[in-house]
Amino acid sequence: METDLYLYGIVLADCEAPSVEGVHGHAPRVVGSGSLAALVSDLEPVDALGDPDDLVAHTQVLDALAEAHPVLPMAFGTVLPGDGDIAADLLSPREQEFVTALERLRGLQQYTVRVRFDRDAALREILEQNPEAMRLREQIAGTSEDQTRPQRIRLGELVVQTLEAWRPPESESILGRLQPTVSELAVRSIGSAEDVVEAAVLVRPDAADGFEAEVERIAEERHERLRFRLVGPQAPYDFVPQM
Amino acid sequence: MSTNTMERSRGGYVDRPSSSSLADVVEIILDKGLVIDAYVRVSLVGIEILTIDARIVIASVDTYLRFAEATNRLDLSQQGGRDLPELMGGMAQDGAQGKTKGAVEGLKDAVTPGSDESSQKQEQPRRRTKQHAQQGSNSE
Repeated sequence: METDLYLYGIVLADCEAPSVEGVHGHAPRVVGSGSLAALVSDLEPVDALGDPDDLVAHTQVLDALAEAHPVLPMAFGTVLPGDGDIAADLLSPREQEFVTALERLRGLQQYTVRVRFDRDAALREILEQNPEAMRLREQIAGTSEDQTRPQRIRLGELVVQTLEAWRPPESESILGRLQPTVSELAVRSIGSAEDVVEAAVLVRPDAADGFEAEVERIAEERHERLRFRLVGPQAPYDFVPQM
Repeated sequence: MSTNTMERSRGGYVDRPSSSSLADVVEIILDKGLVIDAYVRVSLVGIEILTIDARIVIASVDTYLRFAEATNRLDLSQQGGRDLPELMGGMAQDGAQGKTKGAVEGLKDAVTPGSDESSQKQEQPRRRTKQHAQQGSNSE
């Protein structure tokens, strides 16, 4: 057992490995100890771990597993040295903490909801409302970026400021409606001006239909301005305990 | 991968992929997942590239210029936020009801394995890098 192991997550001992290809094409398997097990796959010595294919493999294994079993996903890129001992190094020292965390996740599945402004719809709305924006647009029409750089920066700034003003009420309204349909909700920070809100939620399987229907209802009501994307069920990446 | 999720995608207004795209899971690199530093060695060569490319500062000149150009290119003869052909992409078939699913499809393309840096640069979906891939050690 000299080869390193790629570590996907920690599971309960009765867990079966999903039949999905893992990182670098190796099949994931379960290595158990007591009430816990680690989901791993072999990893040859490599210079580069962490390209997009690796990330996709990491999440596909975990998402497939999470359909049937509670799992604590490890941070992407976690590798156990080949000479390590999974039981002694990883599982035993925190057995009770892991078991407690896994039991808490049992029967729950994560979904991610991402809401963005429809950019062109938002721009139209801003131009209709804001004479300065419309004027600036006319000024930059047919010019190069170098010719009208200050006007362009001002126009872009107006757009971003408007989106920032729209964001909190939209976000609060969406989260307020999703909250009653989920078991837990974690709001992620947003990454771009078009983002309205991104939230990870934990949902019981028997509540999943209701949750999805509510997302659909909100999306329909707000479709002139907002775009909704719903991903899941997936592993509970956003709900692992801090250790 | 999961037929389960495919059966679930039924919505007209929600973009509901049957499996996660890379852009959907990029967040996971950044700060999600269990970190046990004591016993676990982490190897993350390569991740830096992905996360740096994903970085964005919202209130930046680049962002302003990008929005200005988008405004410049906007066709004002099309009114309203529905039935926008450019948003519909290949999903226009059932567009009669103003369904605009697929509007976020730029998301999928933004961080796609193999796509080059310049093409990743121009479109929207950037994710933050709160801590960029310094992995292993700190769990905020």
